[in-house]
Amino acid sequence: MNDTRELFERVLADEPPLRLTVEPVVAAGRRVRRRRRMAYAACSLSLVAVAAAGVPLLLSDTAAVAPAGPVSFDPRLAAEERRIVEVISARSPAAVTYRIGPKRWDGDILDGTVDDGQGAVFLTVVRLGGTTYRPCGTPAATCSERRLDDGSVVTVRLLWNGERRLRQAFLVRPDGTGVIVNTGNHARGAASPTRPGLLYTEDELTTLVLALGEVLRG
Amino acid sequence: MTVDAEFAELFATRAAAVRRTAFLLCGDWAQAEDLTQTAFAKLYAAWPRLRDPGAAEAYLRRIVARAHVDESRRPWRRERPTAELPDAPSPGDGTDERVVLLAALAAVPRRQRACLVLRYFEDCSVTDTAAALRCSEGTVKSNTARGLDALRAALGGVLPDLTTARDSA
Repeated sequence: MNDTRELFERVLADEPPLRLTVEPVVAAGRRVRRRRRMAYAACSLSLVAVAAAGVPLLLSDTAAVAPAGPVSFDPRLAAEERRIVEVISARSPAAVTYRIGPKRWDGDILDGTVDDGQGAVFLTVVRLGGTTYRPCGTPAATCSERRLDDGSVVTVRLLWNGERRLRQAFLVRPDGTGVIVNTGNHARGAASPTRPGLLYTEDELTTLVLALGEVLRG
Repeated sequence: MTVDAEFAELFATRAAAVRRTAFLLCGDWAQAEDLTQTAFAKLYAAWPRLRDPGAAEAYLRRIVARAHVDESRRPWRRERPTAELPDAPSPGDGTDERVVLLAALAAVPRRQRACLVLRYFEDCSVTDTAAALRCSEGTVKSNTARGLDALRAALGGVLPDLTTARDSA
């Protein structure tokens, strides 16, 4: 047994530092939880509908198939998403255009692309809930923290992964809620940079995360 | 301590270990990080039902192992085995040796590899391994033995024989 374990340990000898942080994991976990609840609710509603329709529905072979309607989107989320987009457009450097995608705002994460004509890069907004995470506790190329009058902490850090750069701005309120804005020098999924440098300076990303914090308060 | 704080603490203490297990299963650090994120996200979703840290660790192990094995059911992601391993490592060169070891591990079929990693890296019992992989204890024993044979064959004498390991399967 020891031989095999030793072999495994040797395979792991060049382990790179862990870049994963708890915030995106929690956000993804909330999405999983929400999907499960929705699936459960949908199943329950379907059962009720089938029961209400009774046997005729099940036996009918002439029922017309209704065309699919437009995909519904929670009005509260739609309004929040609209405000996020407005803030990104208003607080980003001039000439920057913003595009949502591939998914809509789900209450936790909004993926999008920003482009100033020199190469499109990703921009992700993440809502935080009850975090105790300290971003500067993780190794980074640079990391700066600033405490605001209301006790909130704004952190901006820069991470390097080969040629790719990731700049993150965190706004964490005293109750652990807040916002993260992530961007980099590459498009989503791209293995190499799609522009020469980062689109947002540290100050510009700080301005953006503070403005988004106002929109996503509570 | 809030639920998120408890979860954050578990993440801080276990994420690296889970990623190591995931790496041994898939052989790619980026994919291992994805598997780790998936496992913790599912754990977060199930967190209200799983407050015991021991149960949480078993749950994480199960998700990672099953996610790895389930990948083989998706044809577009199925591994393409290579006919030959890289050249034998030169003495003292750790990087080359790791390449050979990784290639040898990749040559072991997924279920057998999962059994080896759970049994010999995670130190899981046959019963726990069977529960994690949703199979019988007999299947775990036979997959472990076959996996060790496959690993030994893939190493082809490059590294010391795995006799000790084979005996304990």
